[in-house]
Amino acid sequence: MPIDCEDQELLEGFLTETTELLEKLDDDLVTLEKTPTDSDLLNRIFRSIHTVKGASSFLGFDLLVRVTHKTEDVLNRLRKGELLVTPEIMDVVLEATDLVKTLVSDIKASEIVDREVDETINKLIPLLSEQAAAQQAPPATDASAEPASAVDTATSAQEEPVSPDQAPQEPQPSPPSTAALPPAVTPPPSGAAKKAAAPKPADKGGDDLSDSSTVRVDVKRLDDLMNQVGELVLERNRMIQLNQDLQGGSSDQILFGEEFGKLTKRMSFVTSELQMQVLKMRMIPVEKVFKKFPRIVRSLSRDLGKEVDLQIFGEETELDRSVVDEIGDPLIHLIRNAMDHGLETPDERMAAGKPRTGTLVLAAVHEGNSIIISIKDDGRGIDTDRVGRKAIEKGLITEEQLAAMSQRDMFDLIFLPGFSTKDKASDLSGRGVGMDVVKTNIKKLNGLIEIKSEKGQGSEFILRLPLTLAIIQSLLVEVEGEVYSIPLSSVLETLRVDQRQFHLVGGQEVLKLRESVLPLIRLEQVFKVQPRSERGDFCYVVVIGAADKRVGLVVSRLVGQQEVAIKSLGNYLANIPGIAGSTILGDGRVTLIVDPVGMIDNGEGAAAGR
Amino acid sequence: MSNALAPMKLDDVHSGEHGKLIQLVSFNLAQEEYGVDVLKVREIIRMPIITRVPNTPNYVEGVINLRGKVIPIIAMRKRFSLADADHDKQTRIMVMDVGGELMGFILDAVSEVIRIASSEIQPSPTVVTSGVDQECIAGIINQAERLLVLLDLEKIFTQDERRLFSNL
Repeated sequence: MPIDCEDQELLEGFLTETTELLEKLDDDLVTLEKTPTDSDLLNRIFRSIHTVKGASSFLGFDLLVRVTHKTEDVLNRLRKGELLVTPEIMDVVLEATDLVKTLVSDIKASEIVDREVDETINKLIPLLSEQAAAQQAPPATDASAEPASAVDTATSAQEEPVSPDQAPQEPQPSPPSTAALPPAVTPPPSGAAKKAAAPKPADKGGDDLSDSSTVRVDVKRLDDLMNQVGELVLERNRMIQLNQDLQGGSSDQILFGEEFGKLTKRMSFVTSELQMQVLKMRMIPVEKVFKKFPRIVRSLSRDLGKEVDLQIFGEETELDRSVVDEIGDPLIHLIRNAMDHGLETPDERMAAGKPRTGTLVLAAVHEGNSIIISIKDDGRGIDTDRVGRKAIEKGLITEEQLAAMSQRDMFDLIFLPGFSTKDKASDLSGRGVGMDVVKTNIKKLNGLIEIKSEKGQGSEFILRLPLTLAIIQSLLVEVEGEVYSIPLSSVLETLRVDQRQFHLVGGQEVLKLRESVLPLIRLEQVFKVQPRSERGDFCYVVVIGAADKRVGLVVSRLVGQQEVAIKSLGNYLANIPGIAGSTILGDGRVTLIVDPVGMIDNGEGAAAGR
Repeated sequence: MSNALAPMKLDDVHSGEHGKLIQLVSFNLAQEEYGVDVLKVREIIRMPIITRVPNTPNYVEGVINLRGKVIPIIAMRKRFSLADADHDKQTRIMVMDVGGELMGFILDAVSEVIRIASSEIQPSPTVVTSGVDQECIAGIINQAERLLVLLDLEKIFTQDERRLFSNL
């Protein structure tokens, strides 16, 4: 059933606000369980639910009102100290929150499905009548309860509509005069709501509720941006003026050159400022992803019967929203993985001489032009013997390959598609897709993943991601007349080498660099560039590295360093080996960006294959 | 009532006979004349500097910068296995919308925009003069002196090629 809402703008405002509140709510509820006496927190939770209730009753979302109303009542009793926070109560409240999310996402998808809400509501009701004396709200459904606050919510639009001093008065019966107001705005689908013939219960907690199609920007940042744009316009006018003078012959060459030089400097200053501003606007704290996790960890630990202490650090670390949107799923996989495979049950932990409660540390930190996210547990660690055996059993590798593997390589086995140490797939894991997906997603972001693990001590998954996907520093190189761009983040050093110093080891060209042997890749061969006739003895080697793997790219000339904006090559040319994308240089020509990770894998493969 | 209906009927018959008018951009490729739906054509440009893209099929000439957007360029002669010819003053790139993405096609020359009635389009004969794939020929237009091959560039890449592109 499509939603018949007269004011689309109002509805959108409601959705944005509700989504934000609900996102925060999960985190708050889990925190509340740990600190049940925090009355500020409890008040905040109460207000969030109350706001959602008020707004939905104003817009006539009947189901939503029923659920939030009862949840609010329970929270109110918690707030007044008539009930104590227990895991059981929190389970029910969280279930109700999930249901609210599902209902909101229904509204977002502009269809109202008849969902089974009575089940959840029935779980809430006993919490209200347990101490009958203190009963405050009638159990009967009252769709248009609290219209006063509903109107209040709607008129004060986006901001926190309920001030704390107002809150205690709210659960009072509504004056009948205003009670007629909400239905008048939008007739609520009351008949449908009461027939709770649900197609399916609220199973998914509305994971996809948060979306990033809209962005809230600090007005100050926007003002700054406008200032920058203003300056840019001035510089443009100056440029037009200069051009006119030149064309009209009213300016002599020397003066023009001088003026133009100044203009170029100012232009470049303004544009870099502008670039920074826009980049800043796109940056959001990683908290947006992290705040989902306490809830996930809580429910997982209850499901698995494990005791976990989740510690989160560096949630204020900012990174580009395009990256934030993409890392959510891989991180959930890794957390699940740590909970399911890494951490032991309390008994096992006691037996191993560890504290009952396992620790899971989620940390984010900036390092240069990248962000590092690590997920660390103090569980049983990765058993490389077992991993190796399983990989052979599943036919992913051969005995000989395993024998030649370093410990690192064995850790990497868990990323192979189809790999799983579980004999039976459970709800949680064991299908052998998760880690493969993690690796693919991280790779797609131009990121790296690294594993550190010690048997019996725990493991750590380290993700290294670029801060932004839009603009990178790059090294321009020339290969037999063609210019390519190499992301500077993966360039370790550049060398000018005499080609006679190259050695051949099993058909693979290598260079002895200080104490180590560096495999070489000739870009003109990989990219099949037509060789030009003259070829000097000297060439340049660009050493690129990812994690602890290194290869040298042989190029004819280094052109320089430049900040470039990444342009996609489109769907048709999306997957060219060794090419990560393209960019446009100052002279308008297109240059291809080399994919360092692909090159390194390629180089390693070539070296190992021979 | 019946009076009001009559002209409408006539109109129906009329359009049934001649079909609705469509506009085609006609271009030349190895002495043959081809046409594509004008609505698919975004712009026609002269040859810019093309950046070669390695490890792609030979008919992918490379990519160009179209006002800040990077778009792939397909050499039509190579795609249809026609004899290669040097680019001259007549050579043009026709930027088209293919499956929602912009793509440029190198053509020998672009001649004009013509209007024809859709009824004039005949199904293509089984044997076609040039090396153009049967797949992307939408029909033949026979107008007095000229013979025009109507192309559907949405079908220029076969299923296999699409897979190749995405799995390269």
